[in-house]
Amino acid sequence: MRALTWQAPNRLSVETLPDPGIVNPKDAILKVVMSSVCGSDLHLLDGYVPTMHPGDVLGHEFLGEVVETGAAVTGLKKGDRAIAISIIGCGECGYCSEGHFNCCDNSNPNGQQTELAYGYSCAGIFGYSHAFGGYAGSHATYVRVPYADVNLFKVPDGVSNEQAVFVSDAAPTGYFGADRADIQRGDTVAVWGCGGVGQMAIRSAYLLGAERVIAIDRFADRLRLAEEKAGAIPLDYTRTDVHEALLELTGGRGPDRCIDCVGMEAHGTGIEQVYDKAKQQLRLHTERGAALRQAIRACRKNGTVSVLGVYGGLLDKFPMGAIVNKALTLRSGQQAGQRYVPRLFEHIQKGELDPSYLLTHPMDLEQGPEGYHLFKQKAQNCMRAVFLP
Amino acid sequence: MNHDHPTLVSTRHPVGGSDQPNVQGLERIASLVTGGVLLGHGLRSSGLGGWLQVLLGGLALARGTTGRCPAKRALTPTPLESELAEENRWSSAKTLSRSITIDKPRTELYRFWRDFSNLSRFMTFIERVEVLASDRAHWVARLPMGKTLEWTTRLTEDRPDELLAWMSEPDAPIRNLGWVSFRDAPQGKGTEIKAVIAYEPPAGKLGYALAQTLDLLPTMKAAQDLRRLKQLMETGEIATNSTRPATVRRPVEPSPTVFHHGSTGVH
Repeated sequence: MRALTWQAPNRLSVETLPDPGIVNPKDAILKVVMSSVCGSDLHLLDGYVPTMHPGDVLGHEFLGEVVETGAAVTGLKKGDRAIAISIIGCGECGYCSEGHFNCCDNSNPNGQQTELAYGYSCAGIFGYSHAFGGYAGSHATYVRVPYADVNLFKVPDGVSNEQAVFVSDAAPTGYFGADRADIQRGDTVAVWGCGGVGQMAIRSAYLLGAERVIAIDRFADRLRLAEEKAGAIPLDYTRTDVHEALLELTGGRGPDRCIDCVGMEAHGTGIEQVYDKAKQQLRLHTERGAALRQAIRACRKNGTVSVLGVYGGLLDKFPMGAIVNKALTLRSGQQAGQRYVPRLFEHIQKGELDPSYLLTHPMDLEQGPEGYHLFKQKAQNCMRAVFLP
Repeated sequence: MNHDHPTLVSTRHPVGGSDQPNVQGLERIASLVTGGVLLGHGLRSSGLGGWLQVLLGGLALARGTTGRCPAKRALTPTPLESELAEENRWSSAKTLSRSITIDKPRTELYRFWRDFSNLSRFMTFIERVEVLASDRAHWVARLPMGKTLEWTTRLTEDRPDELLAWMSEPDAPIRNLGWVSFRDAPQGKGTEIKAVIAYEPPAGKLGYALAQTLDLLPTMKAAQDLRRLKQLMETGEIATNSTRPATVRRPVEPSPTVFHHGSTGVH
């Protein structure tokens, strides 16, 4: 089969690899129909996530057709159109049993690396470095999906491929972040970052009862989509003082809930940006936290900050004082999408959610490196390049 | 050995032992003298060598003056290790321990472990365990370059659904013992397993110091092995990132529930 592989920081290539097969009885093999790039891949590309090996297959947001199932798979059959959740759950451990699939104890065969870094082993993720399991990703003709009954979901009628593919990662991540933010009816929610996940977080905040959502970014096109497609009030932080604008828009109270959809390669302004970037390039810290710092400062007293953006290691100048003295709640996590898929498909069927506008650049898998280049540079207003193997 | 309330494996120092002087008598005098000589010589020498002597001399002097040496303390056996060495008349004992909670009943886990031939299904370092009699087992461990290490153990304690303890027979190349306890986790959330392995490092104190320095790797391995046990018991399979079915790697006949011994990130 053909697959888009990581070779070195910012060097990708399409290679021919052996087709995957059933290894464990709960596996399924999917013939990939659509596989999307994701903002979190950029951290792998840029070399900020260690334990990537040359030849690793990227991609964790995908839709395909079931072509083979293991002996213990009961809920799927050959020919099913399905999406997979990017964070792998086993369905059996204590965490999965309680719906916290994102904290699965069993899905990571390389648990020792996250145990050493974070204290406990973390769940496996498709195409997301060896620390997160070393699973081959979905930018390929075929992909092996472990614990298929838990991680694969059949796409119901009335939901198109273009809509369904984002129920793999962007939509449930946005929804998870909004859910974790504990939004109450009438709340004002501020969302940092208007990429795919940010767009979904804005829409999800409304679905969960927010009255107003304010979206912060610097790309005019993304802000336009946040306004037109998701209904947010756009703020361009390169032109507007975000903190003052948030006060101005909320009668001086500040947003009730803040959602960070940016992560460790945030762009700030002025001296903060220069300082963060320099330290990151010297590997003195792994994260640039401008967006998160701003969110923590902007959040109203007793409010909630929900962190969806990916952070990998240590963040410098973390405003703990603001958290303590404003009695903030900080919540975070990789998505537990298995919990939300049925709900999200329902919203799509009812016309309350339509993620398909994220798909700006359908491309051939052979154009993979080019697709990532477009996405990284945000050229041609690229929101998501999606490969069609 | 009291397996029910043993000293914690993770307790590094005896009570009050973390700040007590640990350099005494001749050793302390030797530290002072060596430190003084090195410092004096270093100050008269030039270049990197001189600085190095000043540094080492300073450290030795501090060691002699304060009577405290953090490096020595870090390489001193833990209270449990001292107990085990004394009880078994070993020159020293090195312990390795991890705990894990598995969402299965105590009985099921006890029974699985009680059949020692199952251990090779999740312990990567163990090639196979042959059950010789109900209380004796023969272990074959994998060493680098295709070599193996073999020994026989006998069961020293067997409390169904609670505890299993074993000890190597006197002719073992490296004397060792181990025990595993099974306890109900709170709120019916399965079983807490605590596994402890102890062995007598070859080459006495030096061997112990070496084992202690390299402690992280075996501890991580032990944690990984217990996670594999958890995966096997909870999901019926061992997680793997391999994309092709494994070619048969083991000479022993495969057991019906072992599907794959997955690769790990440490190669």
